[in-house]
Amino acid sequence: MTRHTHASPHNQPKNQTGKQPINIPTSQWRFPINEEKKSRSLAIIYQEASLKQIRYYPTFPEHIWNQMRFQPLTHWLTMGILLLSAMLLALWFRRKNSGNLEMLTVYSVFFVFAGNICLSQVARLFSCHMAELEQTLYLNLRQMVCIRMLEAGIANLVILTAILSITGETNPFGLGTSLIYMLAPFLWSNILYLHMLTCLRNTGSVFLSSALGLLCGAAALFPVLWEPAYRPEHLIIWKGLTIAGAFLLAAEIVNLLGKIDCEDAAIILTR
Amino acid sequence: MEDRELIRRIHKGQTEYLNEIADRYYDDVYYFCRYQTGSREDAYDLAQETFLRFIKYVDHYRYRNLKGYLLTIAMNLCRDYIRTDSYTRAKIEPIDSYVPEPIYAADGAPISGSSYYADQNEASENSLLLADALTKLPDMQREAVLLHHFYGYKNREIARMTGASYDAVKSRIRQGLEKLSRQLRQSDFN
Repeated sequence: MTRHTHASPHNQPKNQTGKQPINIPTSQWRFPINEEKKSRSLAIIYQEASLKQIRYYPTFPEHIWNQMRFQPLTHWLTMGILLLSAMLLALWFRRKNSGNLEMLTVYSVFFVFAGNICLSQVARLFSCHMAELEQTLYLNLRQMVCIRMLEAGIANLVILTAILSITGETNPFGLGTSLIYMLAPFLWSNILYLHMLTCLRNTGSVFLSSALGLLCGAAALFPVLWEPAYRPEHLIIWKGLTIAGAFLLAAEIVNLLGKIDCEDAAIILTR
Repeated sequence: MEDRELIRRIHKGQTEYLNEIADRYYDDVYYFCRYQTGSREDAYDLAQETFLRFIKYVDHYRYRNLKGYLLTIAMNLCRDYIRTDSYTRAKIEPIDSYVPEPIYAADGAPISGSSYYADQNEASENSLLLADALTKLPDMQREAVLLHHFYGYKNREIARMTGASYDAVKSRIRQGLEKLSRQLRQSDFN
């Protein structure tokens, strides 16, 4: 890379002082270097260079790409089915013009299930012998968990965007309010899921994951049982639940990552 | 060969290209260390250490601006050096005690008695006056002035390299250049 220096006669700097600029030709500040000392110095550098063993470190996009390659085909199929279902559901409600209560409740339950299915990829990382596998990769468990959660977050965002953009005009609640009604159960179900990963340990169990998913889905159905739940005067409660959920989810993620850091990974994984 | 290509080859395991980087940027790094520390002798060690550090961490290096990266390493080393006692001793390099280093021809024999020698001698004296003026600047102003005025980096680039804010860099350069002009006008710099 060549770069004209300001000190060269061809490229004098703009005078930032407002006074006469300093005129220092390159020859004045680039005095001759003692070649002997330079050669001695370079010889040491060459020697170090000859001993250097290069290790390959993938870039962040490469890490993401590699992690995506490790995902089984069933995972991508599940994601595709989820997205397709979200779009079909939204289109069906749009065509049917059904009641607001029914529509929002179904979306909430769907979004809770979608969230849990996406997060199940994080749970897979905690299965048996994962620590050994981790040693063969560039990433440690903490980094892999972060990447999987990022993937799950992006997948959920795509599903949410699909639902909201399709139902946008027909949605009587408005975008922001619908978002709050859907996010509150979603965030709390994710908190429960991550709490299960952190505390219950034996998280590879399909039974536990499914039971928790069903429990969260059922909880998201409560507005059907209590109709005034979506009334405007109760919106403040939903807002509170969403904000508290966001904070608790962040705390739960920090807690999970802290556990991975602090405890011996093998102990966590084999319990 | 461009820097990006050199780095790409090094990352593929062709470590011989590290030598090419050292050959290409040794002088730049040396002059920076020399003016930043005020010591002609220690600047060789600091320049050498800069490349050794670069070699150590080259696996993690993602190409952006190689010369800037090397100068940033050199800058950090100089900061460490300035904090040590050796700086206090090296900083006071009186102009009167200056003995010009011999100039070597291509075959390694020293050149003497020529007009070339006289020109180089004058350049060396000027460089010493310049170094003397630079050492009177505060450290932060000196590195900003060096990077801006001598190496041609923009304020935003210097801010990224030094970790300072854009406004702080702008102010350091302005104040540094004012002081440097004053110092050089007072000396016999020509």
